[in-house]
Amino acid sequence: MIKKNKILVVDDDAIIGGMLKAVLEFKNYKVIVSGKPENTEENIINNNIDLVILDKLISGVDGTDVCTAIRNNAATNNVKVMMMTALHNAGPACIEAGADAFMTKPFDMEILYKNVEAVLNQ
Amino acid sequence: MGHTSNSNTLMNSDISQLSVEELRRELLTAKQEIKNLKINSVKENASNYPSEMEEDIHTYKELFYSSPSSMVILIGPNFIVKTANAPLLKILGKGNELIGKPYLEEVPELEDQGLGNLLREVYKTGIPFKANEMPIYFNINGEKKLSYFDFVYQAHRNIRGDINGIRIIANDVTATSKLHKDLIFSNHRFKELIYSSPGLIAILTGKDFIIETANNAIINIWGKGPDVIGKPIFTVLPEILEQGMDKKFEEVFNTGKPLVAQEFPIMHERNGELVEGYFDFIYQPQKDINGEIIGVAVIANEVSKTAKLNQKIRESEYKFRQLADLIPDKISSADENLVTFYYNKSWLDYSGLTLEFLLKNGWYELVHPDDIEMIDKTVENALKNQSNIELELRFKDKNGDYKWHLTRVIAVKDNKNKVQSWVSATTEIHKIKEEEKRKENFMKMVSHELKTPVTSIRGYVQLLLSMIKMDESLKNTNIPLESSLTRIDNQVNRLIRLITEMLDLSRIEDSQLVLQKSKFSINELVEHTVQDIKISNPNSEVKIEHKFKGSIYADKDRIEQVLINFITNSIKYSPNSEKIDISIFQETEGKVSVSIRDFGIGISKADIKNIFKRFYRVDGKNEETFSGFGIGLFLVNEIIERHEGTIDVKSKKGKGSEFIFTLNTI
Repeated sequence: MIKKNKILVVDDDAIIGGMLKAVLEFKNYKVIVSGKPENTEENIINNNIDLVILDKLISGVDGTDVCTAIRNNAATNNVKVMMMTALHNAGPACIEAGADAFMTKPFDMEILYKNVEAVLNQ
Repeated sequence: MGHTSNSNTLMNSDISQLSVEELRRELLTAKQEIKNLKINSVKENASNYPSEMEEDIHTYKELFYSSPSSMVILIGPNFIVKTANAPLLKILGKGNELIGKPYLEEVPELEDQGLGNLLREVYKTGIPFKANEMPIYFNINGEKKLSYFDFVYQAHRNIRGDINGIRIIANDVTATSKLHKDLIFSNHRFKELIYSSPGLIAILTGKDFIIETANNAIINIWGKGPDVIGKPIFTVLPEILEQGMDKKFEEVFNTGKPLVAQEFPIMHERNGELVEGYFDFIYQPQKDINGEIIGVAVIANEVSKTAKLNQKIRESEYKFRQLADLIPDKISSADENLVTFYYNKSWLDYSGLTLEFLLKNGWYELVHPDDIEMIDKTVENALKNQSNIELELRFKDKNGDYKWHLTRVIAVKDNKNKVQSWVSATTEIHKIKEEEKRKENFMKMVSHELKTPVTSIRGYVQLLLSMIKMDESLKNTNIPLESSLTRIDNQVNRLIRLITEMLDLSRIEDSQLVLQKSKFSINELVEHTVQDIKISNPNSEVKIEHKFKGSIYADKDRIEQVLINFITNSIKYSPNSEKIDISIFQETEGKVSVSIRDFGIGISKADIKNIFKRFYRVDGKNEETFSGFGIGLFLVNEIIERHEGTIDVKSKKGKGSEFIFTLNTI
């Protein structure tokens, strides 16, 4: 098996987090799930993260602010970010915040795999 | 004394054949007397004192030369000037050099006017020629000067009675003749003016206001015949006396000040009935040359039709204002430049301002500062395109709180389609707006809350399916593991589509109030939307062709929704083809079209008519497997209609469909 990338999933919904972990680990990615958006930058640095999958609507926090913070931090601004949203029209806001891609929930797993692959190979 | 009477005759310039005859006879007598005197003087050895005859000659000469009438004596067939007095020389513009010369050669213009022939005729026949106010011109200093003359041409005879010349006695009557003519002409014109005038004209003279002149128009209004002339007006029209019109006439007569009235109601008795009419009139005092008031002229126009119309307009205006004040909405009217000139009571009540203040400062003062820019743009656009306005904005109330309002402004156009004014209605939508905001947040929450669990279910189901595919032992069990999971996956997909459509429908119905229009490039929007769709549909092959590039003024979010609907429909109904062709093109100036073409299952002719109806779903074996409420195209149609655009569908069952929507460009 070739070495797979490290992915950080940031979502306060543990079910989604668990599901993404299971789905992505099935494809041999290393996955860390965090329900605390405020620790995101720290988690990226400490775990040598390649890609962050970030929910836009985390209770109390807007995912775009987390994304902006990642981009504004010199230690994290190279990491890939893919945002998830349940809102049909939130895509532009995510891209504007510095995300490399976004997905509208609910998404198909095949699409998830394709997008993750595409973003990592950008 | 005979001489005196003659001189009087001449002095009075009363030229008549009789007087000239008399003169002639007296001259003859005088000449005879001179002859006799000469004989006598020879006989009496010549006296040094002037004889009586010499005195007489002197008198005649005096008479001739001092006469204000022009006189000339012409001798012989060539009309040699024998004598001419000063008035005559003056008329001809000549001096004494004329004496002894042929008259017609010296004054050739006489021949041109046929007077030479006249002279010769009189010379030949001896019949005198008399003329009154005859126009004759003379060339004086190279210019023609026209004058009018009373004159007589008379044969001049010698003692024997033979004609030996012509006498002309003439009077220049130019001044009096012209005046006379002008007077007749002006009088005629005056009468024509009065009688042919459609206006009502009467001249009343004296304190009793006797009708001196009344034209047909006014006699008709009075309902009387022409025999009213010469009668006092209040005898002819006792009904106007009852209406107190006498006081108005007397006031004008006594003060000399004209009286003007507009749309003044007066009753006239016509055929035994009192008929009301409305009149614009002026009573003008008439003065004689000494400035004394001698009467009153009535100049009037019947304006009953316009007066009644004006009254109706006033009543209607009053009703409108009452109505406008009654309704709780804020109503205002503005001129063609959108400068407001009317606010109803609701505006005053809401703002706590006076009408004067609002008229002076306008509603602009009340607008929330954040809304000013959007309003300026909208107003500028409306004035440019003469289009109606619809916008949501915040107005400050009397407590200084800003509240959301919906304002609609409609252009009132004349029959040449030019905007005459604008009428606007403003409704407070603050509560609706707050409710909308709450609902929007709720829908966001619902959206998230519903989509999140289905996302996990889908994820786990697909994970399990993937695992089964990899593990042969799991695949070949007696338990229907794979088929059950596949069913769950299909049902989850169906649930997802239903949730998405439901949220879309609620979104459009929520905010149907107003389109949030802005200017943007249609080409960029298509590119952007396709990119978004490709992310969730990576297998689709969408090709975009920009045959035309342009911008539109529309609700970007809604147009994006239209595109998403068309494109995802194309994907959905093309299970065996990933190919979708999008083209942006222009067919008509001022419009842009977007075509979305797929190579899927297509739509039958009968269904094309119905696909834009709400909750309509195509029946059929294949179609049933496609989930949805049947609202996507209904929403699309709503959005395009509200943008005054059009949708065109071309489809062939089994071959694919093409949806084209067309919007106005800017």
